[in-house]
Amino acid sequence: MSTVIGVCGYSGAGKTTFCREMARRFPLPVLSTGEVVRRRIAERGEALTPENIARASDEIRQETGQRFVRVLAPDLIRSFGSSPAVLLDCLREESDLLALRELSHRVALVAIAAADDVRAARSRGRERPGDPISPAGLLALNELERRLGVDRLIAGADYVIANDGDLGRFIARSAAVVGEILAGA
Amino acid sequence: MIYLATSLFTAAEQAFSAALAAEIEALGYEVYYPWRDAGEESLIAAWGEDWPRVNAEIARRNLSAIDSCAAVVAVVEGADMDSGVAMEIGYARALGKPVKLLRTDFRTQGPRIGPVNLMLGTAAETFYTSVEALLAGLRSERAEIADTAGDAVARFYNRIAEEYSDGERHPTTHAFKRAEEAVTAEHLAGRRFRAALDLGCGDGNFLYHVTADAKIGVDGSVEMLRRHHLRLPEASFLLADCQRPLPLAPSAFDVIHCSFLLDHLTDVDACLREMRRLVAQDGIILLALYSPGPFLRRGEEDVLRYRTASGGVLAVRRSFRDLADLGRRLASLFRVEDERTVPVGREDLSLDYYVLKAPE
Repeated sequence: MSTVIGVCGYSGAGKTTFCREMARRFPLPVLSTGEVVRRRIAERGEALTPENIARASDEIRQETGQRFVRVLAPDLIRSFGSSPAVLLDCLREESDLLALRELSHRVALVAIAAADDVRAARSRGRERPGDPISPAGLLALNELERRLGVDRLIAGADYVIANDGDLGRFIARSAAVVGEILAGA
Repeated sequence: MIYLATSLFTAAEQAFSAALAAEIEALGYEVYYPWRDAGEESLIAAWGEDWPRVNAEIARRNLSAIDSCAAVVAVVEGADMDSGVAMEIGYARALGKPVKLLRTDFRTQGPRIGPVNLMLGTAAETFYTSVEALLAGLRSERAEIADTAGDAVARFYNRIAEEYSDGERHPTTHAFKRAEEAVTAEHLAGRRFRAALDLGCGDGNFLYHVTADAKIGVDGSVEMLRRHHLRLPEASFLLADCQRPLPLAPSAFDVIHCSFLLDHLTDVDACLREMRRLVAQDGIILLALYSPGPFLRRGEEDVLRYRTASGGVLAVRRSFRDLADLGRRLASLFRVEDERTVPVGREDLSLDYYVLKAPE
C-alpha cells in the first residue's frame, strides 16, 4: 500500500518546489490539483487569469461534492502500483484531507510554511497567474486561504517544514521529512 | 558537508574510517559516513533481508549525499582500490565536486603509474599520504568549503535522538536539564498562557509542562520533533532554523522558552532578534544556557564530543566564545527581569538563566 504525502500551505510557501525536489530525489510521482484546474481552463480555451482559476476550482469542488482530490483518484490508484509513495500538490481544505483518507490508508500531511516576506518575494519572483504582486495582495490571499481552512490543515499536519528562502536548507529539511515518512511506510 | 568514501569490509577499515570521520567532524565539518549515516540498520529493521530493496536505498542515499556534499574525501588503500570508492570518486568528479584522496599505503603500481591509477590521479584535486596532512589541509580550507553548520547540528540530533533522553547514559546533560526544568517550573507555576513557543525544543519537556491554549515547538531535527509530537499530539511542531525568519506572527507568544540552544548557533543575535519579534508585549522569555565560563577555561569551546550507546563518537560544532558577553546584548534588546547562575551539582558546571520581557 502506498503512502500519499499530501502537501499544504499558503500560496508562495514552496509547496511546488517541495514536490519537484522530492520527486527528483526519491524518486516519487507528483499529482497536482493545480494541474487539473489549469487543464480544464486550457480545454475551454480560456486565459489563465485569477478569476478563471477560482471559477474552475469552485466548479470542480461542486462536482466532487467538496472532495476535490477525488478528481485525482484514477491517477492515484495508477501510481500506487509502481511507487512506495505519491506526492500530492496540494490540499486546500480539511475536506481534501478527508477525501484523501478515503482513497488511501496511509496519508502523511506535510505543511510548508514561509514567513510573509519570503512568500511575497517568492510569489513576485515566479509570476504565476493568480499570484499576489503586492503585500496587500498577499494579505488578501491569506484571508481567502484562511477561510478555505488552510490554517486548520497546517495545524493538523504531521510535519511542518519552514522555508526561510535558503533553498539548499529547505531541500535538506524536506528530504529529512520525506525520508522519515518513507522509512515508516 | 564532506562525503567520506572508504572501503568498509574489514574491522580495520571500519575502525579507521570511524576515527577519521570523528577527526574531520572535530574540525567543524559535517561528515556523511555511509557505514554510519546511510541508515542501514533501520532499513533492515523495516524491510528485513530484502537485499535488492535495502541495497538500492543505501545506494540512493549515498548518491544523494554526494549530490549535496561540498567535497569528497576518498580513502584509496590497497594494492588496488575498492570498486565502490572508485565509483563514488567518478560520480563526484562528474558533478564537479572536489575530491581529496588519502593513501597511507606505500605500495605503488610501478614507476610508470605511481601510487594510484592514472584516471584516479586525474580525478583528484589533492592527494595526501598521511592523515595529519589531510586534516591540516581540511583545517586550512574550512572557510572555503561552505559548511552548513545548521544542518550539521540537525543531523547530530537526528542521530542521537533515540538515546538523548536516557539520563543514565548522559548524567551531565541530564543534570543540566533537571536544573533548568526546576527554575522553569517556578516561572510557570499557577500560570496559564495564550500561546507558548519552545525554540530548539528537541524532544523536551517545556511544552509538556506549560499550560497554554496553543503550543508550538521549533527544532532543526526531524527525529526529535517526531518523538516530541508522539508525546504531545496537540502541539504543533515546525522544522526550522531558529536563526532565520520563522513563519510565525509577530508578538504572537506570551511565553517563549529556549534552553541549551544558543551554543549551537553561528548567529546568536539573529535568534535573539527573532525572539524579540515574536514575544508579546506582556510576554516573558525564559532563556537558559550552559554558563560559558567553565567551558572556556577548559578550552572545550569548539566541539561537543558525544559517545553514543553503540560506542561511536559523534562531534558537532558548539561555541561559547560568542556567549561570553551575552548579558550585555540581552540588556540592549530586552528588559532583563531576572538573571541568575544555577549550579548543576557536577564539577564546576552551572547554567545561566535569564527571564526577559519586551522593552517598554
